[in-house]
Amino acid sequence: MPQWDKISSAADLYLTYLNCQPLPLFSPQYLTETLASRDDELLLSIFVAAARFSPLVGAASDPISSPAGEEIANDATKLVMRKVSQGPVELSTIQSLCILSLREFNRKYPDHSSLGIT
Amino acid sequence: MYKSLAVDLSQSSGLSSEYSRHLLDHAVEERRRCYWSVVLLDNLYSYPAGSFTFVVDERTPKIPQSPEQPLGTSSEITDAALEQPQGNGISNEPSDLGILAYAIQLSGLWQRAVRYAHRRGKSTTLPAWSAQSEYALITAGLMEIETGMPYKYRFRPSRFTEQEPHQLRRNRTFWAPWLLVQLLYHSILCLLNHPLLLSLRLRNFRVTMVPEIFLQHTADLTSTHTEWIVHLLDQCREKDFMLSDPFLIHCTAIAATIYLQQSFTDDHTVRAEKQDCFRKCFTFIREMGRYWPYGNQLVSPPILWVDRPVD
Repeated sequence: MPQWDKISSAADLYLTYLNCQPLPLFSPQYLTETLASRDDELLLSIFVAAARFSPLVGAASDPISSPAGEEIANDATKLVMRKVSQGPVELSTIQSLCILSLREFNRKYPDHSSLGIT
Repeated sequence: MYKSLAVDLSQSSGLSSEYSRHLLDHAVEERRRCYWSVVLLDNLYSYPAGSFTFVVDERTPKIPQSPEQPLGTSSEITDAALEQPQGNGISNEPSDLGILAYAIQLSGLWQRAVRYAHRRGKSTTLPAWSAQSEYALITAGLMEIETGMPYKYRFRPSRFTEQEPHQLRRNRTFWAPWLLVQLLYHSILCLLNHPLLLSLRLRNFRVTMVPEIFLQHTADLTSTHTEWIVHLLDQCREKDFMLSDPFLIHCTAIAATIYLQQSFTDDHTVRAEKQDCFRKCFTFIREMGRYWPYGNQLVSPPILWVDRPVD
């Protein structure tokens, strides 16, 4: 799990650059007020989606597909899939899936975001 | 897989039905936001042949609260042309559902337009100029959404161009979805009337069977609405308003492919103009590629086209 201050910064970046763009998942003030009590899979999903807009990371590099970014995304996915297979499925499970899906649809090879069986 | 799971779980977990439960207001609001995010995701990113149909009934979650339009934009309209007649005292202005509602409505129409484009050239479908064709129905749907949306959200009364960069940044929560609404609207028309898709659709028709007025109509629409897309990108650049919504890559890519096709002309002036607009679209997608790798992937092959003169 990334350090808390980084997660908090990522949540701010998420609200600025991703909320309602296009998915209106959160009321900004409510997310900020309740961030500390959110489930880990949601925090990791927010972090990995928002990291690309971090001035510290820098847009020139590719935080989305960097090993660290992939590792965090995998951790988020594992937590979500555990909830899906073992329960309980909560609101945060679906919220995380939305964020991970948006990330996957905009990867270089968007192959995990939807099933591609034809 | 993620989207399919989100859609399925939203149904099976009860997220798609709103009952009067003992939930706090903010919990209800967040459930609504999640449900409509799943709908948006499905509308905007589904494979054209396999999108899900969401049931709409009295238990469908209400549209989430939208960010307010900033003061000093629509509230101070003084343009005489915008004044409405005061006939019988009944306001003709549609009720304001909030900017997010119109983004959601347009996303549904986008899904239909994508499916229409995907099914190009099927001989069993009605010709596009038929009043009952999917083309006509989508166009009518677009006009219904436009007239059902309060006038204040349209481009001119919103006064986007009159805002200072710091004002746009401060009210980004409104302007970002407002721009999505604008660009979705123009992109749907560009996709419906895309010259390449149109030529594929019309290849089974004899030339004399295609109405001239229809061809002129589609050419006019394509020209107008690609210009609007580039104009909006220009305005955002001028105002230093950073666009970050990954869906805008698709909107711009549609305009880019139209400009690319139109740039193959013997008229030097027109060619230069179309190439210039193509480059603007291309540059935007490449810049978005810094944040969304899919943008990089889209612009990778045509870079040879840009660096090499079309003629």
